[in-house]
Amino acid sequence: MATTTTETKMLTLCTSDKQQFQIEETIALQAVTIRNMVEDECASNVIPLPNVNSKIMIQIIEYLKKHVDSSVSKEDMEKFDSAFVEKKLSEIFDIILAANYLNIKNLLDICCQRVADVMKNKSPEWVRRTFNIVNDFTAEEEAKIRKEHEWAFEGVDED
Amino acid sequence: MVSLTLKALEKHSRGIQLPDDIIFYDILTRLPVQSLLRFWCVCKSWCYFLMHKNPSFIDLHLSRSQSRFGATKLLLSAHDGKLHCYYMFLVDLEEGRVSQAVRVANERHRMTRRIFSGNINGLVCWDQPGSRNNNCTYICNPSTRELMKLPMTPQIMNGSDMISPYLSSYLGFDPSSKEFKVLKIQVPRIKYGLYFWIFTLGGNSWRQIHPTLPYGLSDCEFQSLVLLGQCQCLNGALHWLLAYRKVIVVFNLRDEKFGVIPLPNTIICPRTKRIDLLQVDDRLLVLCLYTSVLKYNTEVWTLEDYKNEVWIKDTFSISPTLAWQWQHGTVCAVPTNIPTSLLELDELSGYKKRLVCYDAKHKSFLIVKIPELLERWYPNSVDVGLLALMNMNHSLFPMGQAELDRASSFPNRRVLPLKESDFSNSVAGINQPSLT
Repeated sequence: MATTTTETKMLTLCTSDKQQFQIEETIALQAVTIRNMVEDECASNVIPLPNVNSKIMIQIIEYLKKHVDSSVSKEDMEKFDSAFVEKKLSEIFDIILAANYLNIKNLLDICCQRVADVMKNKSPEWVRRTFNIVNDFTAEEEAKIRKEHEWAFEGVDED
Repeated sequence: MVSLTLKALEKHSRGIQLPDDIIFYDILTRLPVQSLLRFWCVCKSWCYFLMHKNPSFIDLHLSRSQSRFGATKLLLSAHDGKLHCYYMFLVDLEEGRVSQAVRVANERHRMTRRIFSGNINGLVCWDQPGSRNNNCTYICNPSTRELMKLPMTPQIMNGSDMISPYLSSYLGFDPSSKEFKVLKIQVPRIKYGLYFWIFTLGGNSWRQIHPTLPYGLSDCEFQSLVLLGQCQCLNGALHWLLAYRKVIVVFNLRDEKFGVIPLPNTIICPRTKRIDLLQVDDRLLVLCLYTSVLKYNTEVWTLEDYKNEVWIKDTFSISPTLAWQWQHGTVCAVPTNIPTSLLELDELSGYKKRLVCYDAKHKSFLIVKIPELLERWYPNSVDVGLLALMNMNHSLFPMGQAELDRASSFPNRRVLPLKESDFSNSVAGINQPSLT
């Protein structure tokens, strides 16, 4: 274990772009990946997080700081969560990847719910663009599949 | 310099790709069924994944929709007396939208609220008197608009000797085997005795069983149970209320045997004006309406502990309006994940159909007006009847591909998936004298 003897134990996280973040251990331990590293004592003074960049780390720390605070009411927490995911989808995707790597379940849940809420009324074309998916159907194949559930295209948002 | 790095990173992240397991299990499991069906054509791997509905995906999708208010829908059905068909509607409470799910056409008998058995994991089941007095059993998933007609039961005696003007098929789910089973009870007109059949979804035929009736019930008493029909599926068993014997009759879907759960000794029934068996969040409720000293009262008994048969009682006095509505209408329970403020209240009496709901969370009664949106679909000349209103989870069907194929290749299939255009045409058609 680290040798710190102060009351609030601090951990240093090092992101992929070599930025270092000093945060309280209680905050960092909400991420299961970090907790496992600390518990297995394989973490030295600095914990390297090669899959997370500093820009995303700042936002994740903001999220973790709020969620470690047990005095926040459930309603306020939900308000914070819904405000937190009001971001561009590309940013949400980055947070999803980081939350998945760091194993922060609730953060992954709210971000995925956000993506689902945005995409539920969108067209397949929008989905392909957003998720970088190549359409590998021929025009005939696609028309055939579309015809199978024609009603599912009612009320689709304009792109 | 830092800002430069960030910019470079941002540019890089625009071409981001999420791993498939996150897309499929964390994101797609949170989408409504309609969106999932639309996204079949995104690409081949999505199509393959969504088409083959693997069980873990369906389970996760179902549990997510059950826990989220936004995914809960109400199922309404209505009968069109002139066109001899009926419709089912899903009401999206979050967006206040009504969308029609299925139309079953050209049936002479109207559905009554009694011939409905369902919402079992998003599936509903009902009977229709078919040819030669043998009931047809339908299973429908309103979310996917899929409809399946089960095969007829084998004719074991002259068809006209079967009485079947009421519900005799009940859908249930057995969590231990993860199987959907339909229990069908046939009542012969002349001979004594009852016939019991089981159909397992995924299979292709009915299987006759010979269970012993519980509690010394006679065949006659059992027939009245079938007539009353209100059935709840819970813990892998079907439940019917047999008020005058003060029991709930239980059919266990796993071992296919009958049993009973006694009602509490002090329950007011059978001295009631109305008694109903409901289900809220995996608990059975018995609601009794009775009068005392010119006042309407209710007893609500909740089976708090199913295994040890522990009941909890609540009593209320209710307004005469509400009591009248209750006696003449359908009763349903409000799922506790629905904020009741969203259900429109209307205490005025009148012709419009209303529902009495029991809000288990706040332990109170309320009357729900049928969304006016629904009425918009109909000209006045059509007989609109409310048949059921239930909490409809937005679920993928677990019917299995095999049966669906069979249903679609059914030779005399009278079942039409309903499209917007179909609907407006048929409504317009009602007013044309040439049709009558």
